[in-house]
Amino acid sequence: MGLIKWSRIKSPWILHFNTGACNACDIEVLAALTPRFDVERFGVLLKGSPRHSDVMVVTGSVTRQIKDRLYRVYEQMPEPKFVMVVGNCATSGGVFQKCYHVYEGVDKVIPVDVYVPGCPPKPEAVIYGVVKLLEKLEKS
Amino acid sequence: MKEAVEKLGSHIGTENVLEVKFPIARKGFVLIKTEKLLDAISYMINELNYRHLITITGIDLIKENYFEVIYHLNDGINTLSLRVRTPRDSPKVPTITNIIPGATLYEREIHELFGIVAEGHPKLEKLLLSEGWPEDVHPLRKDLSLEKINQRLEEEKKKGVKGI
Repeated sequence: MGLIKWSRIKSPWILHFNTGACNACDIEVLAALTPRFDVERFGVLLKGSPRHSDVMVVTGSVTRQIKDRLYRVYEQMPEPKFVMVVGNCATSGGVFQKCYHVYEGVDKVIPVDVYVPGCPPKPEAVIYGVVKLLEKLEKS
Repeated sequence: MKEAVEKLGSHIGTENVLEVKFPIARKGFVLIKTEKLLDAISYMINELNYRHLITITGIDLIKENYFEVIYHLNDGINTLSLRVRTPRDSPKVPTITNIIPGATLYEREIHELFGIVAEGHPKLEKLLLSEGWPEDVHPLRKDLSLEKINQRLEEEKKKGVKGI
């Protein structure tokens, strides 16, 4: 493994984006960043701008009104970039599946690497999702 | 709360109060005629001390062929709701933004989801739906189904409208 690939795997910086959720999945993601569940031992930092980050964490069901804004934020991230999706509403629509204003999952808009199901998932499940993403990067 | 309803009845005239219901403790529903709506609301705010507008609800009754609009008012303990009916072909309600300026967002929401026009509103625009959504499709009416909405959106996309 070369030096650049080793340094990318050991420090993934994340950006958190909420596309119209009920905020339950946001609370679990923020709880995973506290010292009790401690996802920062993998080198993860929470940043405020898409130009600084490697991984985008998306929660919430995607509506027709926010689809253009999500695509624009995704295009502003520099390569190589990855997307992790948290919660039932973001993987497949959840309880809002046949509504007139909701898309069935984030992968109708942008390409996705890791799915974490649950309503809402436990912080341990979010940490397991981060570990799966890092293993996937090591093999490729 | 019964004294409040009697005072309201004697102020606007008892032939304008059509139906009164008290289904549970601290809640009341009063059905009045549409011409007396502004009078009743300004009386309840200034004299009877019901100063908090909670929300404005819309109901689509397709069998009886009218829309119903409900204004919920609260005075800290009790909730009294005023019901108003309009015909389904051309639904119109007088606006209450001159008395309560905070009701602009509720009237915009009723307009885009049901089609009820509030006469005298300063700026009746879209609030929740996307920018390219066609103007005459009102999703919460009971005679529209999901297939008809999707068909209509496909037609609009083929014409090249952006932002749907």
